[in-house]
Amino acid sequence: MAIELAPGAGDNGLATMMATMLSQNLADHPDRQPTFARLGGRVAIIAEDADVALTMRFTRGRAVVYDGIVGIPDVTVRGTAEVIGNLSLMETGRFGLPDPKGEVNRAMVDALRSGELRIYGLPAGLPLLAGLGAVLAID
Amino acid sequence: MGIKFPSAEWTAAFRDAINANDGYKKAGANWTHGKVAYVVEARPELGIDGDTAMVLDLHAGECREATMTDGETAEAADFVIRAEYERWKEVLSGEVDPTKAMMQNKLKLKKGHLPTIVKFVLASKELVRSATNIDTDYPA
Repeated sequence: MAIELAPGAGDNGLATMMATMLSQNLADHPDRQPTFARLGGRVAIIAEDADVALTMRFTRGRAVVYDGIVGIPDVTVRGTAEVIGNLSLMETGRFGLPDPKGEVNRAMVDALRSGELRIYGLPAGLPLLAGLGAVLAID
Repeated sequence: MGIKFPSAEWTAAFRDAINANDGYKKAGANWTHGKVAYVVEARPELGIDGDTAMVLDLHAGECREATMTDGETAEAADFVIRAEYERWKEVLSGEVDPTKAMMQNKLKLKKGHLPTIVKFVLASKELVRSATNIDTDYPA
């Protein structure tokens, strides 16, 4: 498993956080490595009020985190810094899918309804997003 | 006239403010992960001659001790967060959310397990909220 920051991404706090989260979560939970290895595609995350964005490119066991939007993302997640920060706290239920009863998950649904959180690229990008969520989840 | 930041007096007031914050007591109730250091980078023109740190001994929703020390000594803490003086001023006065500040690279986690910090994001916010209750004199 390889997780890298692209040149120039080291000054992007969100990119640094995401690369660190991926590395530390995979080290803490080796059972998530097969899920990580299956990820393929690009995910962009934009924290609008923090004026910061990143792109993660997954190629079967390797992830590169870029500053800003790079290439054409398969999934784009836009929201406030607070909502983006809570993405790792989403509760996972059966089959690795989000638990609909989870407190954070319900807040996410509210954020989706209010437009505070917007996700583009679904439903095609759902496996990529769900897989990423499973790797990043914090117990 | 408020309490000068950073100073030993402010650090003691921070401990008292944390312990008076019921929100932190609740959000940090499960924190058993050790000490957290806030390191203010040197700004000689403001009287901060060297890196200066506040080391918080946090445990189960309580701040058992808060000490002011130098940046090098603070490296022994379990979690070390560094920032320039102006960034701390923005965060500790409640002007900028700490999560947003980390995403913007204004606050940098130099040591410690990031997933643990993310898990306790609410506790981190309550720590900062505690600081806003201190009558603080920020130089310049």
